[in-house]
Parts: sequence; structure tokens; C-alpha cells
Amino acid sequence: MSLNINKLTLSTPMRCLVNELSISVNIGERWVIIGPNGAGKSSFLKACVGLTAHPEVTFEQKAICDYAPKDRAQRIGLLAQQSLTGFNNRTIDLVLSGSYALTTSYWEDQNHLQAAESQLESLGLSKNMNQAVSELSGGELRRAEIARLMLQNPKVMLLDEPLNHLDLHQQKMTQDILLNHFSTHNTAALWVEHDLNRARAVATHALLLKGDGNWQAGKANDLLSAENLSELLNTPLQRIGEQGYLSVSY
Amino acid sequence: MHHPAKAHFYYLLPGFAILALISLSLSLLIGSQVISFEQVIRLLISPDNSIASQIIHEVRLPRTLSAFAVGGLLALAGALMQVLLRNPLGDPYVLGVSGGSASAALFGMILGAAGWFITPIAFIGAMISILIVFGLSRFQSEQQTLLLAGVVMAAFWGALISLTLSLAPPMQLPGMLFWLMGDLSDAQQPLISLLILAAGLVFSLMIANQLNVAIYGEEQAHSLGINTQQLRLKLYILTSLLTASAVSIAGAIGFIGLIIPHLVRLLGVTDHRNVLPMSVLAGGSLLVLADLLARTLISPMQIPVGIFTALLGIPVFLWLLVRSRS
Repeated sequence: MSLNINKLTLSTPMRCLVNELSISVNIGERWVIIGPNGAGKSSFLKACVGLTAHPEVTFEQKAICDYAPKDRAQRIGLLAQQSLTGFNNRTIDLVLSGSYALTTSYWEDQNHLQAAESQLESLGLSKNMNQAVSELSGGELRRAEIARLMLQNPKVMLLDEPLNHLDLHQQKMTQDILLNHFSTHNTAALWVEHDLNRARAVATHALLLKGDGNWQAGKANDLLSAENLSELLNTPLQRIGEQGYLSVSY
Repeated sequence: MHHPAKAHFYYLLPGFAILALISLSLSLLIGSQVISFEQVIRLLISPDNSIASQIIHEVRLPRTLSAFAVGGLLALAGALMQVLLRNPLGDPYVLGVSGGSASAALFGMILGAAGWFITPIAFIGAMISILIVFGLSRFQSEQQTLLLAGVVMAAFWGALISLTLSLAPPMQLPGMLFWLMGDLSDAQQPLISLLILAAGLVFSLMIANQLNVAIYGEEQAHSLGINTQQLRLKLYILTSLLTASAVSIAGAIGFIGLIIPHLVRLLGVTDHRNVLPMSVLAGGSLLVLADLLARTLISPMQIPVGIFTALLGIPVFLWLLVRSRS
């Protein structure tokens, strides 16, 4: 079981973002996607989830854009970069919308309701359960969306800067919850990340997008070196400390 | 844990049904001719040749049912437009759909159309207007822009209406004003309107759980398993048909579609499987009551009911605008 991308080319009217990208993402693998702003990271995720029709993206030998919507959502799900809140809907409503693809009945299953509650609990949002989504802080909203994605539980998760807006404590906690989810459910993940040290901590593989059509893909250990990332991001980086954390030289 | 939306459906929705029954009863009871409650019930079950029976069956009942149907159609159309535009200000009147319908009707009258021919012309006007406004969304996905386009379209139709009125022969003016202010005094055939309302509600309820997902925006809805293009198309067609039907029955009645879904949501109802039927019942009830006022307040003269809904709706609209800013 894998998500295959075969010679995918993405471009804007102005320039080519990604030229003939081919990678294969297998279960249990965690790919980080790194690149400068505007390099096409979000566009790439949108192509993967079928928001733009690209037959080059296949899951189990079938193009993502050819799946029925609910079948597709059981296989691949996206945590978008931008959060849109609805009307006066509550946090529990937002999380419960993750079960839409999982049920054929008119009302949600009792099981999904309980699962939504326990997801909220694990992310520390029990007290916000009945609060209007529009009243949540940016970090709370982000965690509620992560709870929704974990309820949806697709086989491939696309995460566009998932820990944005979270404070340091929540970043660490949410990262652990996500990694735990990946390993218990054998989820494959594609994770857009700007924090290079976090990228090195979570990734098994990496996809580096330069924004001019060029890209590199492979094992995280091979690609996420100080030299390679310095060149990609056009910023001199140095290793510091025993752990070899990457830092910009200020 | 209990299912909150299901609880609303089983416990709150009947409350709205009772509200509707009360408003329908009041509308049948009150009028220039005094008819007692027992007499109304008796005449509803077994009509006779009395004047009271004629008043009930030929005047009050069709008008009351038409008012309920039109109110329900407008509230349902408003609730759906709000999801389509992801904006609580979506409303057939605000977006100029009613204006397009009225313009077409007036234009038809100038050209000599009369009676039942006006209805399909008004219908076509509403469809054209909604196509223009929604057609813009294909090129411009920014929902605020779409709302602005609708408001500007409404102003455009307003100008066209003024032009038509200034050119129209004086004889035709009273009949034309009907389309501008919204009036139920000529509304007949309530069964057709009620059937359209029932069909619209059933179809909306079938997609209601998709609407609960669609409010998070096209990207998220897609990723959660919605066919967003198909849903958008369904909403276009549904809101167009509902609005066009309402306008061709009763002219341009404003703001029901704006305030009713909002009031329902203010009660804490968040699930569209509840918002939609509650809006229909509350919208129907409100227009029945507004029409009751319109025909009894300075009886025997009648005030077009659209004036009442505008007087009520505009302050609420302004309040919503201020509230959504803060």
C-alpha cells in the first residue's frame, strides 16, 4: 500500500514549481516537505489530496481524483494551512465532521461521537467541547482540526504546517500525539515543516522543493544535512551542541 | 453521551411546529369578520354555504397558507445561500435575486403580459439574476466579493425598476407596485407553493449533513469526503428554484431569508439537519404573522407585507453587520 506520484509537474502561470516529481510514500513513512516560501509545498499537498486533478497521483494503483469522495477521504486527508471556521458551530461539531466519510447513516454513530470526545480530551480541549469554533484561539482551533483529522483517520495524512499557532508546550505534546497516531495506525504522513530541527526529529524521509522545478527526495538522514539545507534555503546553517541541532548564524 | 443535534431534532423541532400551528390558527381566526374558534374548526372540517365558510375557504385559508409557504421558501433559500456563500449575510433579497425577478415581471407587464404569464417571467428574472451573481463565483472565489456583487446587482435592478416605473402607463402602476413591495393579497394556489416548499425541504434535508461539512470551506470539505462541485451545483439550483418560486408568488419580500436562519442559529442550533426545518417553520410563521398585521392593522386598507418585513429586517441586518465586525 502506497501513495505514488509519477512525474508530477506543477506550475503557476509565471514559473514551474515542481518538474516531473516522482516519489513513493509507503505506510509508516513520515515525509517532511521543506522549501522556501512559494516553492509549491501547499500546491503539492493539494495535488495529492485531489483538489487539483492530477492523474499522476495514485493510491493503490488508482488515481486519487478517480476515487469516490468518501472512499478518497478514508485513504487521504489534509490538514490545510488556513483554518476556516463555520457559523456558530461548536468545537465538537468541527471534530465530528471528520466522521462524515466513515458513515453511511444519516446521524453520526454513537461510536464516532465518543471517539470525537476522546480525541478532544487527548488534545487538552475537553473544556472547549461546546464552545463556538469562532471563539477558539488560533492554537485551540489548530488542535481541534488535528483532532478531526485523527477521527477521519485516513491512511495518508497531509499536514500543512500542523503545529503553527501552538505554544511550545502544545507543539511538543501535539507532535507526540501525532507521532503516536502514525505508529498505532500505520499512517503515512507528508508534513510541511519550517522548523528544521523538528523536521529532523519526525522525518524518516524528506522532500526538498526548491521552487524552480528542482527537487530532491530520499532518506531524511541523507538529505537533511546542514550543507544541503543551507543551499536549499539560501541561508548559512551550522550544527550546534551535542545533538547537532541546526541553527542560523546570526 | 447523547447526540446533541438529534436531541434538538426531537425536542426543539416540535416546538417550532407548535409555533407554526399557533400562527396559522391566529391568521385564520383574526380578520374584519369575527369568526369564533369553534366555527373555524367546524368550517374547516365541513364547509357550508355561509359567508363565514366562504371567508375561511376562499380568503383566509389560501392567503394564510401562501404566506406560510412563501415565508418557508425564503427562509430555506436564505439558510442554503448562507452555506453556499459561507456568509451569514446571504439572502435572496440582499443578493438582488428578488430584484431581478421584479424587474422581469415589470418589464413583462410593460410589454403587455398579464395574469398568469407574469409568474414564469418573474421566475426567469430570478434565475437570470442568480446566475449572474453566482456565475461570478466561478471566477472569483472570494466570498465577500460575491456578496458585494449581489448587493450591487440589487442596486442595478432597483435602477431598472425605477426606469420601468417612470415609463409605465399610470393605469398599470398599482399592479406594478405589488412586485416591489411584496404582497400576498393576490396569492392563490397555496397547494402548489406548499408542494414546492415540501419538495425543497426534503431535498435540502438529504444534503444537510454535507452542509455541516461544507461550512469549513471548499478545501476542507473536499478532504473530508464531499464532492464540492456537485454540492455547489445542487445549492445553486435549489436556492434559485426556491427564491424564484417565492418571488413569483408574492413579489419581493425581503429579509426573511436573512433573519430567520440567523435567529435559529442564535438559539444554539448548529446542525443543518435542524437549522433547515426550523427555518422553514419559523419563516412561515413569521410571514403569516406579518401578513396578519398587514391586513388588519389599518383594516379595511391593506399594507403590502414586504414593508413590514423590511421594517423588521433592516434593523436586524444592521445589527448583524456590526456584530460580525466585532
